[in-house]
Amino acid sequence: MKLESVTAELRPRSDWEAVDLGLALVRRDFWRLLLSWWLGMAPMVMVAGVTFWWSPVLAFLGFWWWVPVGSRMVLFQLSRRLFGDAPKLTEELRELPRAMGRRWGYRLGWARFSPWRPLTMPVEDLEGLRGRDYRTRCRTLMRRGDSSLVQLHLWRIGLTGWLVVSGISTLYLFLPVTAKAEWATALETGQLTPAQGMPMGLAVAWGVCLTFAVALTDLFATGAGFGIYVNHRTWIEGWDVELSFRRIAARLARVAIWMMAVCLGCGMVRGDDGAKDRMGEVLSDPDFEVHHEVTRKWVPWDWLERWLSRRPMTTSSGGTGWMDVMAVLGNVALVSLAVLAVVFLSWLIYSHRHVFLNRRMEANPSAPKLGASVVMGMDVRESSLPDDVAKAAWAAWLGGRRQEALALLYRGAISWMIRVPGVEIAESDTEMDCLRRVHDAGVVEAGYFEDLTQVWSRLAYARREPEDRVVEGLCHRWPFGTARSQEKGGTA
Amino acid sequence: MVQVVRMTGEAERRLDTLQAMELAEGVEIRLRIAGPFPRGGALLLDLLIQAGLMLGFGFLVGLLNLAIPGMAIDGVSMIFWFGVSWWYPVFFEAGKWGATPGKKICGLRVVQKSGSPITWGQSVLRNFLRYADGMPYLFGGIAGVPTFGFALVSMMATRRFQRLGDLAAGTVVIYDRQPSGPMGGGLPVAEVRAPAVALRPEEVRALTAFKDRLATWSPGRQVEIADHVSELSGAKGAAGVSRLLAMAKWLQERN
Repeated sequence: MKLESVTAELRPRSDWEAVDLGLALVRRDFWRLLLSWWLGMAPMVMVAGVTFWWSPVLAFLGFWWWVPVGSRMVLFQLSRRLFGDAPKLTEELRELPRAMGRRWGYRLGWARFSPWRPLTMPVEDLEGLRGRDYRTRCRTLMRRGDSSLVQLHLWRIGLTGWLVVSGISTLYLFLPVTAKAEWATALETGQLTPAQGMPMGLAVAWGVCLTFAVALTDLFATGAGFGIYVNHRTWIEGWDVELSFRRIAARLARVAIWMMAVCLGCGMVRGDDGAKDRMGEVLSDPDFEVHHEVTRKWVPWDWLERWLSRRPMTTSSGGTGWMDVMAVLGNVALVSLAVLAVVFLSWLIYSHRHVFLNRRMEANPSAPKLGASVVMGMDVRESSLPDDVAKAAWAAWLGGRRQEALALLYRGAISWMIRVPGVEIAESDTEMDCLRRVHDAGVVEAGYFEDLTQVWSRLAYARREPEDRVVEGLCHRWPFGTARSQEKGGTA
Repeated sequence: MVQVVRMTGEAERRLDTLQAMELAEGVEIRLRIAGPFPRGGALLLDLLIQAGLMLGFGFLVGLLNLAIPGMAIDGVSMIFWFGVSWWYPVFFEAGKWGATPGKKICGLRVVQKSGSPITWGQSVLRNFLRYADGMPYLFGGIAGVPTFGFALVSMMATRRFQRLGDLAAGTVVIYDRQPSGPMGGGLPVAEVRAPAVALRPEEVRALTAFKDRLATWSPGRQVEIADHVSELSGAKGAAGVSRLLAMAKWLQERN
């Protein structure tokens, strides 16, 4: 181990940062490490291909069981690359039998399911410890990064399955319809081998997705475990400090040689006493004055954030993250509840407004009844109408102003409906709405109103003019009387 | 635009998950870029919180519906879902935390590549692109279950662990908490001694680290490390260790 030629920055890190370093190491030499992994797996691929050719499931189980050998080859390559070496293929081939045989029963048997494999493997492979020493060393190392190792193992299991499912379903998207149906039935009936009728394409897809999911997760998990291992040794052995000290020593040696040369050449160099004074002069120049400018950004939702954070919270430092989040979520829930309560109350009041309105009407019975003054854009106030609507309309009809004549009749009718029987006609009502309301109100003149509405609509919307006789009939039958007689009828 | 510091010489080749940035004043800061696993954990937590919000809202609306039949439950719920799934991360990441509650719990924070807080626009961009990062989707189209395969591949393939949304918005996710380590630091140092030669900043840092972490090393290892700089301390063995400690104390007191 040559600490001077290390190719990654050694410094004490937090657990997850150590994992990240491991991932970055794997990424740097990804294709080379993938090759190493497959090199380790190659013997098993061949054995399984020959022995279990009749059962893809058993072949895959064999492949999966052999995974630690692949990890070992990755670790061999990765650890040497960290310290500046790059083992050649021949060196790796020489390492391969050792990787297969080393503590075979333990690594491929007893400890095959160990979630700590990425950390314990460097201890047996790189430090070569066995037995009691190995166990003590592992216990020491596991004091740091233990929890991230177990989490890493869970991630690894989850991600393997996840990668397989997403790979299969992505392939599924690109299939022609007929093949899709075949795949779907095969997946539903749980056919596991081509012998059971599984489509060959699906079998190959399963094989490729499974092996690559296992390969990728194992590659990165091995790297992550190695990152944790390196980080722990950096902490407990002060690798970073040792490295810095070595660099200091190297620099001091260079300086010593240089100084000796200078001394021999031109004698001792004396320090200049005036230098300090001159430095002070230069530094007192206004150019070196430190200015601070504080800018504050106005944020529209600032008041909300300020309100949310008015409780004493430590938002910048860690450790109390849970408490912060709970406090804010609690606040949000409280505000939401209050808003909902207000909305609910408002709605309740609005939907029962008749209770309050009736009470007011009883208290003030002389208040005039309100009616719409404009319906469908037409002025329906009584003051806008002539005294004798029917007569004026007939005169207009005879004068050729047909639209105006029927509009006058219709306006007069609506006006009367609002004023006398008090039909509740709103400004936004259409002709059909008005007719329906008149029918609902049970007004005796509803039949006449319906005829009038029909004639008026035809003229207004379809430009179909009624015959003179129809209009004459309408004017003749006008049931609503003149303005004066209405007053009498209305008050009677 | 902030300029990335190119470290020179030997250090340039060394791999690290830090990103060094030089600010306008010549101050160098280092961002500790966060990898996929803590971010995945934060994502799971956020999904849990979002599901909880939706459940709580559904419960409330259900109660309201019992009290007042005929409310537009579906419409209201969908509007709420839209807010929770699309705007929840945008709001929190553009806010003061710079992190969704899940990220906050995991000690993460979203910042620009220069280390400054992200803007509202960046937050919208990186979070709306979450739907591109979610590909491939299981069980049919964009309404299916996101596998975040694209995000994972993108994070593994980029130097700063950025997903597609991060790449588009120019943001990175960093660790916000200081790592807690076994800091010894409690050793009393009686002697104070000035180093014989002027030291560079990184060398001062190394001496300070030596003093702070001395208690976590075995005595044999302490001597082993100290012997590397016997030229500086002028002594070997335990004497060298105590001399280095005295120098570290002098350097700390002077600052």
